[in-house]
Amino acid sequence: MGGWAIPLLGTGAALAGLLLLRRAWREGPVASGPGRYAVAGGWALVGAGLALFAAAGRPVWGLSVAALVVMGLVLPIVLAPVFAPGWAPRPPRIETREPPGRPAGFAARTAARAAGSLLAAPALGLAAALAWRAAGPGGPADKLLGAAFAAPLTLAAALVAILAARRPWRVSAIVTAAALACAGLAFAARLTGA
Amino acid sequence: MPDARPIWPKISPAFVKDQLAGHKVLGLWLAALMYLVCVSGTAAVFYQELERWEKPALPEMTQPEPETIARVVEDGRARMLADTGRDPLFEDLFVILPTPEAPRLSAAWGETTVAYDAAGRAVGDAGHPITHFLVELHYQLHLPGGLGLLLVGLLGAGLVALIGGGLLAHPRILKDAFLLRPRGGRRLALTDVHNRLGVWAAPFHLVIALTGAAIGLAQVVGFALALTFEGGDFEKVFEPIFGGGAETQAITGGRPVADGAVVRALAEMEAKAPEARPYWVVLHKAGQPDEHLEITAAMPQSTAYGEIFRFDPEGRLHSRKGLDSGSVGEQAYASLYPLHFGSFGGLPVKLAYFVLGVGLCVICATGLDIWLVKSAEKGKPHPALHRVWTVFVWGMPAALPAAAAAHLAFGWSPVAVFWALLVLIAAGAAAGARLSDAPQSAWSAGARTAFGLSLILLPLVHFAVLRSASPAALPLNAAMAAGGLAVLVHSAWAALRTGVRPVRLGEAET
Repeated sequence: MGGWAIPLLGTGAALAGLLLLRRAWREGPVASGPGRYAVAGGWALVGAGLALFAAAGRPVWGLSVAALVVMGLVLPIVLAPVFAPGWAPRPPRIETREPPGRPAGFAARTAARAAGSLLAAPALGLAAALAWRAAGPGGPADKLLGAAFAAPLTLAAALVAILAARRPWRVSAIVTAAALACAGLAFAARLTGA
Repeated sequence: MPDARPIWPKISPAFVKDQLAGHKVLGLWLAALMYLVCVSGTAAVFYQELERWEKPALPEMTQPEPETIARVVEDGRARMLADTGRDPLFEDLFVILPTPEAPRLSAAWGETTVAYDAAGRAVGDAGHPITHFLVELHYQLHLPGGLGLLLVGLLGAGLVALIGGGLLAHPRILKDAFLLRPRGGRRLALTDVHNRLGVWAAPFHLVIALTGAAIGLAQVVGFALALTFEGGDFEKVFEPIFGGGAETQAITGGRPVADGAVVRALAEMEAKAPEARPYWVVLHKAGQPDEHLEITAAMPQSTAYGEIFRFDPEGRLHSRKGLDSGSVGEQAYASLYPLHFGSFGGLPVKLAYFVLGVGLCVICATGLDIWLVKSAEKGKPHPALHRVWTVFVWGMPAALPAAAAAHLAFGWSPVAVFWALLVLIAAGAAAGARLSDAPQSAWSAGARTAFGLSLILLPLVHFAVLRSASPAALPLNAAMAAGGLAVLVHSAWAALRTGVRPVRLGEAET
């Protein structure tokens, strides 16, 4: 990375930015004076730290290392209270009231969530991979890698949608329809030789 | 007065509640398996160091002569072809060159690895069953065939969903950026630690989850692509990355690798790509008509695992594969493993991966803890489950060094010992919930102590059995002993600070 000077400078900038952010967070919103710019300034310094790493070497490698540096710097700042003498969470307060019963339709919704998560979401993941391979941008290697990432990303998105849905059957049906559409696109591309 | 309204669109409480519910359900479904994968993955960051530690007496060197490497290729090829018991699917011979992380010379095919000295003489088996046990636990939970890999891939996708859902369920992400309430209730404290670790380390967790999912699901996706686009030819799917038979034919001209090709190839690399540091000499399809030679080399400041240099049968450089400088797809493929395992920046990056990996384990453990405490607060305690989970959280990492120690001391299968211990731990904790009225904190302290002792036991057994204080053994042994001691001290300190309260489960403590 052409010596240690630029990475050290980047580390310093990121650390200063994080400390500034923490200070701004502690002091709360400021209506006037230079304190108004503390949050923006903090993020700008963190960004400058990342940019210095990226500029000092090959960008992807530099950014990867810089992201680790920033996360490594922030954790001790954030988690310091856990290791401080004052860290003594109280035992939980236990309610004595009767536990709430299951809401109506709980079993049906659970079944829908399970079916959607185990069948519809993986189907969408695979279909999205096929669709990306058929119609994604770039050369053959780009399409292959796009397909490899499309599968887990769409599967994850479908899981989030199905599990958070108030009407999971409906969302599972939408996910299934999306899977069929993606698969249809892939097969159409194969048939037409695209 | 300036307008103090937030610049972000307001997220409705109903949306947040739904996301939180989804996050909770997924977390409850996956917690135990996810924790297994996270803990084993965190330890596996140091797999190269573990391999050295496991066989500390093997010869170490910095840079062997090209003639020595050629001798190893020749010897390894002969041994591989004479190995009648090998799986015919394993057609390639890998000669692994010394690197700063693993300064050893070996030849590997299939499941067999042979170590060599600096003169190129075979010195014995270089297999590493303990490291293999750990890595296989992470990759496939010791399940047979591709089932484990698929399951771990799905867990990776689940982790992506947990991260995404967790962030969506966190509308005060910036407002709470540094929030930790040291004197709040236990649930608040757990939630704060869970959220702060989750938010600040989210980029790391996302990279780990996404690369892990892509690796784990590659086989299934590959089969689907093969069936849809390549008439069922699985290998053809990956030709854009690895190249195909026609490409090989163009390089080799149908001739086998000649004598002296390896020495010449290494010399060409030195002359034409001096920045590259070779670490694998690969004889593809060894002993077959389309046998051909490649050298994989680490490139400076690269997240790719290396660049592949392809040679003609006489050892003349034919071309570079482009993993380090080719298309986005090629570079992304080559970066999957280094980004997942943290092997792109030496020891500092590995240490960062270890620390952030421990953070992910904490997120996983606290996630279920939050639900258990919250349930108890609502009048629905799950004391038996809470006890099993607490014991599992500390007992599972304790079982890893214990299984390794049992293998070193008695030659027992670490896989069998590990799973037997895990079953015992879970069954013991579940039975203990009925038989003993000891408080939750006592079980937690006991399991933590077992973890600390297990971490100290392993280096002691290692030293007693192998009698090695070499640079291959000492750093890891010292680190494990120090880690174990730190866990014991922390456990004692926590007990002194908070006191092991004589409180019954379901009353004032869950």
